[in-house]
Amino acid sequence: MPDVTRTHSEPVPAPDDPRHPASPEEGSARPDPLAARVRAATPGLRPLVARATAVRRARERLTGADAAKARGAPRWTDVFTTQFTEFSNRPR
Amino acid sequence: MVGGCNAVAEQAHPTVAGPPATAGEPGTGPGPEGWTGMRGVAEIPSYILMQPTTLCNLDCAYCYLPGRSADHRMSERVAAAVATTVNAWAQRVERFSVVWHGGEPLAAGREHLAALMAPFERIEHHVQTNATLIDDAWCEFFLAHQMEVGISVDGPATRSALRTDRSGHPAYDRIMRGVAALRRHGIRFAVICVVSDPTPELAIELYEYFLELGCYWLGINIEEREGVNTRDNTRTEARVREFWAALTAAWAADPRLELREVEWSLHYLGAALRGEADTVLPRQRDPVPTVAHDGRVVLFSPELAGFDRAPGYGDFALGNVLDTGLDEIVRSVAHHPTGWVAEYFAGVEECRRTCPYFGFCGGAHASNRYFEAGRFDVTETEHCRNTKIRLLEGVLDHAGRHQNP
Repeated sequence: MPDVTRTHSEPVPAPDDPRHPASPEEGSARPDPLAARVRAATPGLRPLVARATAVRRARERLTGADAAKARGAPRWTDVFTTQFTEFSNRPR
Repeated sequence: MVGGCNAVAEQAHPTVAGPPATAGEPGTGPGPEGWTGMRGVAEIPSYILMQPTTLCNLDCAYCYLPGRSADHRMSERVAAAVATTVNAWAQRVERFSVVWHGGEPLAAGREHLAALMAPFERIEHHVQTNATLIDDAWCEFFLAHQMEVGISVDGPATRSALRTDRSGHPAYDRIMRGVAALRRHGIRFAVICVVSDPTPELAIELYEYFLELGCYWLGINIEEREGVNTRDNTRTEARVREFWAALTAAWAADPRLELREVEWSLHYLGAALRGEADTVLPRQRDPVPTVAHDGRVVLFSPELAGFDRAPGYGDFALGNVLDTGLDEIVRSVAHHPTGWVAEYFAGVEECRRTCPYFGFCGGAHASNRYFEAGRFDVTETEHCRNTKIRLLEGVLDHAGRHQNP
């Protein structure tokens, strides 16, 4: 499984490029309405995502969470973020 | 916020049920086999919630908890039974968290809470509190037990009118005294903020307020119709999207706060840009065990705890730790889901099949399905719309308007 926290140095194709990840796949049985939205927002989205990544990495260095991740500690906040939100906290 | 540790989490939290989790084809949406995350149930949860008391000293207008005016305390026997399983789990994973939730957990008192915590070993303790009871003695308790602290506050006094005590008096000043104590002792704290009427103006006001308050982490919950809260949670799509878009703008201008909803969205959208949207969700569903004061256990949605006579379902409890090990309860439900859990799993699979946002959220929450629709096999809920779909769309709205955030 790809490491989704890694910043990819390869340039993402332009939003109107058929190779763009958000482009509809040829032969795709199901329309993906979200793909069009992502594609349209890509120019503004890309720097925003880069900023979020940089902020998260700086935070992880500050708290030592990067070391915990390197040890393989699961980030349980991933779970409550998607399943239960009446609780706040984050990994050390 | 999902890290590359997902792959590691798969090893640490083995699956015991459900179709095998396989990596999907890269793309913004699912691969040919559909979304591949959240399949099966993790044998070992990441955390459990414990209810040391049903009592809450506040009576917030939107609270979902039944029976919060009564002080039913968890016995040490219940805590010890839970610890037997949890201590074994904690030896098999890198991290395990026990969250003391409520009621208001501090209403149990320091002595009793300490007794409940005593049998747990090698775990991280967390508390989610309304902060009104926090004083120097509680701060010393938090430090002594290395507890992570999360508080609930809805913004400045003018925005916190729904957080009141049983006499209807605003709790805001008491909450601020608790915050002052935390700051005095140098204890970092996270915040959950409930928003009942989302507007872009409120988003900006809240972000500035919480920066000033000094929390390090902020989660925003749009008020939900669940539990004993039957207030309508239908909201205008445009207003909710504008709220999230404005919050994204505020965060982008000064990203000092870890902002759960916006950062989670950007994490997902970043993966989508890379064609990895289907890798974001945890591979397995966390059972999120909640242990009520009397030892009864509900899984997946803590909000279901405490309901004895739900129409059509009765008691949502899936076992009692005084009779059965918590590990056995989790295993049994994962292998042989019956009743409301089977219905919920059917609903999740329908979400997986039909919802383009599944890779972002993992399916509507069990409690929202039940409390909005009266059953568990429905799909999109009002909570989905306000807190998942309109959130993602609001972040995209912001990105679409700003070439350089």
